[in-house]
Amino acid sequence: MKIIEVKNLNKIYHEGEINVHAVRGIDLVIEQGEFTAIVGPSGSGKTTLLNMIGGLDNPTEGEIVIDEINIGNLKSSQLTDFRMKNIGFVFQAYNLIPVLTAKENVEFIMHLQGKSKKERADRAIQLLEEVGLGERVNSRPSKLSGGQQQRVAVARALASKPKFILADEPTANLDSESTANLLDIMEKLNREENITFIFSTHDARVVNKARRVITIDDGKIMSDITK
Amino acid sequence: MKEYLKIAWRNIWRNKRRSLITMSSIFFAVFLAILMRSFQLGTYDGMINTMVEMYSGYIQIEHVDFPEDKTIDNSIEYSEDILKKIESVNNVKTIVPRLASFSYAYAKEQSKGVLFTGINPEKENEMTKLIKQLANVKITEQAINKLKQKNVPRGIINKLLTIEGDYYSDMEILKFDLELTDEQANEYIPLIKMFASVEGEFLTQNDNGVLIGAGLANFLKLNVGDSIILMGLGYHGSSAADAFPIKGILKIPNPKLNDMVVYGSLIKVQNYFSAYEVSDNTVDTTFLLSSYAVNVFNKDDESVKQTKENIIKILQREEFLVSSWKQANKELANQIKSDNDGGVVMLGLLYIVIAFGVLGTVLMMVAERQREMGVMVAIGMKKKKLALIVSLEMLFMSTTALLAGIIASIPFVIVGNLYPLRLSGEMAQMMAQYGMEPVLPLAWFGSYYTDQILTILIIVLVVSIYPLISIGKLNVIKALRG
Repeated sequence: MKIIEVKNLNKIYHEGEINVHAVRGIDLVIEQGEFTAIVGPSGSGKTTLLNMIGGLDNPTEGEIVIDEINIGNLKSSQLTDFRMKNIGFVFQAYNLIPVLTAKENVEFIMHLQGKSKKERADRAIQLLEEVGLGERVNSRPSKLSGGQQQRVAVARALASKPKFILADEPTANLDSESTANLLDIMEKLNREENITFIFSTHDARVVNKARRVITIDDGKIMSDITK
Repeated sequence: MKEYLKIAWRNIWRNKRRSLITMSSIFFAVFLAILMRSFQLGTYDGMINTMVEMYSGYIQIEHVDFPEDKTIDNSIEYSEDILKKIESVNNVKTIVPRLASFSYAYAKEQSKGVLFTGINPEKENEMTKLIKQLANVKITEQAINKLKQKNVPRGIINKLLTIEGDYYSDMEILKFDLELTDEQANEYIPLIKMFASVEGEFLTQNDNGVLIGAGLANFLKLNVGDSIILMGLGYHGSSAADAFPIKGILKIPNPKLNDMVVYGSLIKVQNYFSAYEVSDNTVDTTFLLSSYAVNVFNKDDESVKQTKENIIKILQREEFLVSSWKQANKELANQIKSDNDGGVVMLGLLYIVIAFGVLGTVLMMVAERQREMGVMVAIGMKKKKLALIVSLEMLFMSTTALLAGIIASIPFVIVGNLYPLRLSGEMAQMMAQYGMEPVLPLAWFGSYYTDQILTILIIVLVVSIYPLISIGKLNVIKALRG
């Protein structure tokens, strides 16, 4: 089932008097349950593509249709709601809310969705147990390692029951063991719960795990290989 | 909401030092502003009490030409009928008739210009509590010698020597001047009263005697029982001269008056100045006054103005000028106004400094949390909810500091009001030159508290605009890049 359709996507940044063409006419379809890596060198446009798919950035030209909704037609506040209900984010720098515990970080998005206290607490604990942090639910981010923080970020991304998860270089700041651990968790969630993951990455280990690898360079898709 | 309150509260304490510095700056601003304002307003109350309530009254009635030509020739009619009419006006508390003019006082070796004031002793006491100023102690050399023999400690004797010659009517002031503890006061004040007592009686309705200020008594070297000779110009050029027995010495808080006032019974002073008019048939005599001083129950400007208007209506006398104390005593009113304006400017400067301090905190708070805010918006938090969290943080910090400042100021205001700081030295002399009692009382709780609360809340509100604008303009992509 098609959940993301990108049509003739272009993004031009204006840096002073210079126009930077970050994304050039990309067409792309992502199906439900994919475990896809978008790879390419720095500045190739992969993060820009991910940001536009996530509704964080606006394309200069083209359309992004998610679950039959053209997100380009949504107003800013509608887009915020759309993200909250449909998209999970995992960032390179974890970006947890520092004043909240692991459990509260996971609960936070469910609070925004208006879920009951019990439902929030139960799901947050369940998700943290799934990512192997059942013992650290009450720890604040500053008391967790980088790998643990990224696992909390994955649990947070899953908390809202999104249609897909966008992970922007999720392993960039992790050591080998943490990377392997995180990838195993995400692969398991993808396999067992059919959750769609789209990564942007340089990391060969992530590429190896991905079942579809899209290579981008100079804002264009150079190859799209499904293993 | 609970979730947002929790995040706001924890955000405050994530950078404890900065939050505490911000709160401290608000705390000290509120605390200092309240004390500054309380001192100012308390001083004004003291000035008004000394100059207005205890002497000139909130409303004065005098001859229409008197402000331009302050001579006894510009006097007004004194009658029971006028007194009753004024007394019948709503808000009038007391009314005191006075006849005052200058004369020369002569004594053994010295002479001095004095203000000879005729009063109705009973009514005067109602308004000015003049009887309370009747001195009952004079620190004389003989009294100090006798106290030495009674083994009064050397320190107290030394202090007594510094106030030798001074009169006292209030033993609390004597206790303060001698810096006595309660125990010492209980032990030595009765001894001092025993050896330094001064006889003295207050005036009666038609008394032949006079009361004189302690400063004047010392200058002319006069005591109770001596006579004071007064000579001056009476009504319409008549000559005034007489000798009056001194019935008592008054220790008047207003040092200017203390040095120059002589009080006599109204009828005697009217006779002394020939302040009366005899009708053509030589049967009816109209006695004259310099002024009626009127005190009121409600002392706010609007009530005083209304009372004044009502007095004008009921008297309907063209030659009578009815003025509020601010009109009659422009010097004092202007002095208070200019000092008050200066105080408000100082407070304004203090608050501007605080506002910039708080703004600095807010700028840092917003700058260091750009990425975090970006994440919150990225995962689906509406910007207005984010703005709510930041506003709650500001509100928490400011109200906590505000309440702390208010609570900390309360004991100071209570103590400072009930036991005003009594000044000595140059400061006291300076206040004395302005005719004020040298004390610095704090004003009792009043609207100045609400003024500070509102000012701080407005500052916080204004300063909070910055983070709200900043959040409104937040670019998620830039924020996530940090």
